[in-house]
Amino acid sequence: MSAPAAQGKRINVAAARRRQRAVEVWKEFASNRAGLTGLIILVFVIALAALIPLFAPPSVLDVTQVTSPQNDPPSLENPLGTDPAGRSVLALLIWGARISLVVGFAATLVSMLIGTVVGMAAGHFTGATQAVLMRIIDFFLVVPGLVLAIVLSSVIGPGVATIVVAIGVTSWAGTARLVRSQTLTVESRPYIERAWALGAGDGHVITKHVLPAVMPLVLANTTLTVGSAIIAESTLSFLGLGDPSSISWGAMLKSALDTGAATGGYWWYVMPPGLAIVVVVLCFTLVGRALESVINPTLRGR
Amino acid sequence: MTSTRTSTQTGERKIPLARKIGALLTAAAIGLVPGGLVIPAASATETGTESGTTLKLPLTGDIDSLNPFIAILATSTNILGLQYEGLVGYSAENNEVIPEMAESWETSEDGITWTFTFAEDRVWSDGEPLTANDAAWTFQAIQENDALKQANGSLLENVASVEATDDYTLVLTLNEAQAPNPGSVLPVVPEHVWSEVEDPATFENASDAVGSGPFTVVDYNPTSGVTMKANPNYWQGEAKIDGVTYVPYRNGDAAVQALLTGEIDMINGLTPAQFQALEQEENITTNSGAGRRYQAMNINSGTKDVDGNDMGNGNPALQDVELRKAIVMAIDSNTLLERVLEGLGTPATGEIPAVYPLYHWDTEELPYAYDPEESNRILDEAGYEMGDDGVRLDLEGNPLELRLMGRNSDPTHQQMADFIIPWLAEIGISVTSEMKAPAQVNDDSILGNYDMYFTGWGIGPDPDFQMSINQCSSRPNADGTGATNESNWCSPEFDAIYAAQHTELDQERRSELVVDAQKLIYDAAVNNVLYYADALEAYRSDRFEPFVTQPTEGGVILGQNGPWGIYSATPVSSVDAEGATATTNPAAVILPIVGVLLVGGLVAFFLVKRRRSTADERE
Repeated sequence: MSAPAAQGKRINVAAARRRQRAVEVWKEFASNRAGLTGLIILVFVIALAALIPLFAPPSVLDVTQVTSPQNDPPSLENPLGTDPAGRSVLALLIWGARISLVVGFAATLVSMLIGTVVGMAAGHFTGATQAVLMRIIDFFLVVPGLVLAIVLSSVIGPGVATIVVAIGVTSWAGTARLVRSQTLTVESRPYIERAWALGAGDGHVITKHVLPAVMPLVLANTTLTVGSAIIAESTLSFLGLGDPSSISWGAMLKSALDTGAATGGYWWYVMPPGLAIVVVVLCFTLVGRALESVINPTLRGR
Repeated sequence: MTSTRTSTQTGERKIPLARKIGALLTAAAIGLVPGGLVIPAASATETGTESGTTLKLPLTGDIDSLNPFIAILATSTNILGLQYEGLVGYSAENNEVIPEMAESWETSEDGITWTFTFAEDRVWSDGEPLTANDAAWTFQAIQENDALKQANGSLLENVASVEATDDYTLVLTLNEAQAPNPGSVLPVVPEHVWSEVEDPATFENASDAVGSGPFTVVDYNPTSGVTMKANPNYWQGEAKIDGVTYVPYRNGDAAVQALLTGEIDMINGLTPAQFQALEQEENITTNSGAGRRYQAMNINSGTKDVDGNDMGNGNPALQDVELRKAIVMAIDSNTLLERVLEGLGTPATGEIPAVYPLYHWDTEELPYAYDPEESNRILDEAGYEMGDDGVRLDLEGNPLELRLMGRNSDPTHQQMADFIIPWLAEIGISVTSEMKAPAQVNDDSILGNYDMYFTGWGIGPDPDFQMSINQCSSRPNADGTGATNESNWCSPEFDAIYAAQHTELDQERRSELVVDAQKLIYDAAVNNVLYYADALEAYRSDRFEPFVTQPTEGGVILGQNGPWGIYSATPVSSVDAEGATATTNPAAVILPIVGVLLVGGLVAFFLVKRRRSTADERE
């Protein structure tokens, strides 16, 4: 009777400590007004993208069903005007946010997975394993990411999955370096030495001690990487390597360039996707920086 | 300009703590924008003063070679068309065969012997006399040397012998009678230059060339473009301008801006949006000329190689002509013309565009015009049952899922796919679009690795070549080498009609046969011609008088069958070079810069321009 109670109490203590820490993190984060602003805008954008089917069904993007004139300037009916096919640019913009955000998150996930695993391995193991891993990381650091992504996309064929893979595979090296240095720091601490002395194996040290210690850093880095992944997605779509039938911000800019919207003075088709990219990427950067300063107090006040 | 500044400033105010980033972005935006504005203006004043005597054109395609035996890309052959002449040419008025290098010609009763008579006083651009021996040397060089057959070898396949019986008479003896004039298209080169060349096949011919056309190449360099000067000895009289220069531009919008600032004098290949924007400009005259190109959606009816073995991975269900007919009837090509081209084109019937009335299939009532109900009825009757998910099953019980291929370099392909996918969904066919690099589309179309794809051919005044590539003998080898087939389709019935028109010397009868041949292709529903797009052009009317178009009524200036458009260039006497710089629309300069800046910078930009350069060179 008393044992389960004690156990329950122990769990409660740990949970309480976690809750307390979470509240602290949130307070520290919330005290960074730039980060908070970024977060609010991001939540708004993500909610908008998630709920758009309720306001504008996919049929508004079906060119055979639209009735508005082509390249129409902004009006009450179409607040951001229409594209060369007569679709509402506002609807395109919000539908495009879905692809841009999904690709941004998915590519970041791929990149973080590879970066964390390789980074921890490179920091934990020594000798030949480390040397080989480090050279691989160096290789991906010096290879121009955009060019490699373009080559990958043209080899695998255009599509959303291709872009996710191309960005993920080319952008993990920086994370790996970061995770490796954190791994080295953590592993030189006395408690790891104690764990070794008590007979812990590689698996135990990596998963129980190193991983929890690098996770906050990875999280902060993730938020920063989403931003650059969204830019990379826009770039690849702009170069015509995305799925041509799905709408993303980069694909909108490509279509604007291809159809001569700039020469035609149709600013309502060029500006919104460009500004949307800037705003969302800026927000991700702000949130990421704020998170970083929470995790790493030495950054505060700089 | 204002809008850019305001937006970055608001960004700064909203997020005061992100000063670093905000300042960085603002600096980047403001730093780039004036640069974009200043550069074109500066270069306009530089080049503006000397203009009026040289016609400056954008060089947007690739040049493979300036050797007329080797060059096959459209850009190269257009340039060489200014420098060399054929024995006969095509008139600017209506594309009729007219005397060019030869003054007159006669055909024997049986159509086998063609005798061309040369004028006695003609000279090359370097002053050497031009005689029938030059033509004989050119023809014989191609016949004797396989390396020289690349560009025009097929034109001489039916020519048994060539002989200059005297300095001013050339006799061509054919293997069998043919209706198309054997002296058209093929450029004749000066013997006194080319016989001195060690290997004519590798001769670059890229500087100080000698020709008989209105302009000759002074020099060519991939980075600086092509410079041509007027030929003082051109038999129709020296051109009214000193020369023509082709300036490389890798991007359509950049070339449009260059036209606005006066860096170039004429442009073609505009998009509807660019065309409509230029229509508003003072000092610029736009020309929407009836194009000589058809745009089609090809359907893979079962590709076979020249030995009759299956090729490629086309969906076998498409071998049923009823299914292909239903697909054609589900596509509203008039809506495509209205919405994708904004009406800047002509509704299509067969493959020969309306600009060639002699061979155009002129009808108002197409058998398979847009009719989705009838299309659904045909499919029901043919046994394509509707599945639960709204996708029909083919006769073997598999869902009808088709691929639609297009070029990623041509924006209209994706725009058309956006329409065609829902239209075909309406008749229970599921379609996915795949836009590929132009070279990949060429390969896949030859090998039959497609279900449906967008294609288009520029058609010459004589339909013989276009029809010839539908013959059973014009099918590729198993590895894709050898001949090309227009639709990877052939029929003995078509071959018979082709052969009949090829040797028919009576014009009226031949026209009927060519129309019949087009109807056969149409009835097979393998090449659904959607429209004939207009060629959208614009030129600086403050510098040049109106140009000669081909044909005279509603024709094109650039991309003619012959040099007439550029040859007719006449400078406006009082050139107001300063006025040229005033017309720049600042928004038009800023917007692309902002877009590009946001998306990833100039590296990306140059890359896309490189990719575009290979686009749509197919003639």
